[in-house]
Amino acid sequence: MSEAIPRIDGKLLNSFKGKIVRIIGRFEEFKSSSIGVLNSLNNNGNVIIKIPNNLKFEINKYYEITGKVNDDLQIQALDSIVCGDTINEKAVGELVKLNHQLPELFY
Amino acid sequence: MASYTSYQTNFSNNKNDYSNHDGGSGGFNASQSAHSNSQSKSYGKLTITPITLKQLNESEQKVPDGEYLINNIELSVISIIGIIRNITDNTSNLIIKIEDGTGSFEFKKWQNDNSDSNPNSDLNKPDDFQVGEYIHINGTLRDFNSKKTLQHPIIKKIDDYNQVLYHYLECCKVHLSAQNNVHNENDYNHNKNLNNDNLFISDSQNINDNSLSLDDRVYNIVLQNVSRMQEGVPVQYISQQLGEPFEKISMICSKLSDEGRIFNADDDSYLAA
Repeated sequence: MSEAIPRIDGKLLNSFKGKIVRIIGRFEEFKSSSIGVLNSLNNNGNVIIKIPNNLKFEINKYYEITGKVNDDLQIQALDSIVCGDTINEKAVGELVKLNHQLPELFY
Repeated sequence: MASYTSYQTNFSNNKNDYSNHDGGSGGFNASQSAHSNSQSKSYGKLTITPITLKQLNESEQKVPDGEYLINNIELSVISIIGIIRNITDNTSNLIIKIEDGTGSFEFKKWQNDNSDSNPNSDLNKPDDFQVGEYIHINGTLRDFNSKKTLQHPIIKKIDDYNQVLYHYLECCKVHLSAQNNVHNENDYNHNKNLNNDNLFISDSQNINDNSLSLDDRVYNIVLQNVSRMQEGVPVQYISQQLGEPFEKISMICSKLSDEGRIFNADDDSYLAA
């Protein structure tokens, strides 16, 4: 994973089809054992996450998920990091915005 | 007596050197003492600069052995954050590879026996680290065999994810304020040149330079005339200089004033900010 991985939210999924992205959100629910729903915060919509066997999620916890955006806009999770029970959602929103505004810093 | 004084100076400089690197695992560096004067000069620059790994990888030295530079920011002691992707244990040291979504970076951490078990202290044992975890590193960026290395890296675990978010927001802030400073400096030099070149300012090329926007041309006229028009530069005068209608210039002046580039001196006159 040495290449740049942009941070996105639910609204930006469409622009990153086929790419590896990083998305921060709150895990909402399990649709099945291998499909979950992540709320991408700040009213940016829910994202369907395809969960591989080696990753574990808990409802209502915040996660940073690295994954590939499929053509159907679901994210195939490759890696996840637990961000805890609470994070500054506004800061997440700003970070995603700045990620795409400052190419000299991010990607 | 003279030699005694110089000894004293060197001694105090070395003390500075030591305090700069306090907490690190390194030892005395002969080259630093030889150049202790230049070291003490850069003492004021030793601020901790938060950067992303992309900035770190793209930073360059303008002169050999000089400070690394990236987008007008001088890098000395840096603060970076990343997820551990690989650890190689070489018994006396660890090679740690981190990645933060903007790039990756590999650095060496010497192991130190006298660290305590406080989880907030510097991490340096193989067991302290786990692949896939976020860590925060402070260290001095140095060039070693044409490769970027971190001198005296101090590594801490990140236990609150907000630290990651705030680190990147700080990176943005530092980056953007450095760009603004340069912009202001350029403005300043630009003004200085204008004043030097045009003692009697009438039709400077900047007024008639069509590559500049009308806003900038208005701003330049205000800037050029403010020194001799102490009461403010009249909008009427600007409109005459540019051959543009009074109302249009008046609107541009209030826009520039809203942006804080010029300020209102009187109803119809504007001074440069």
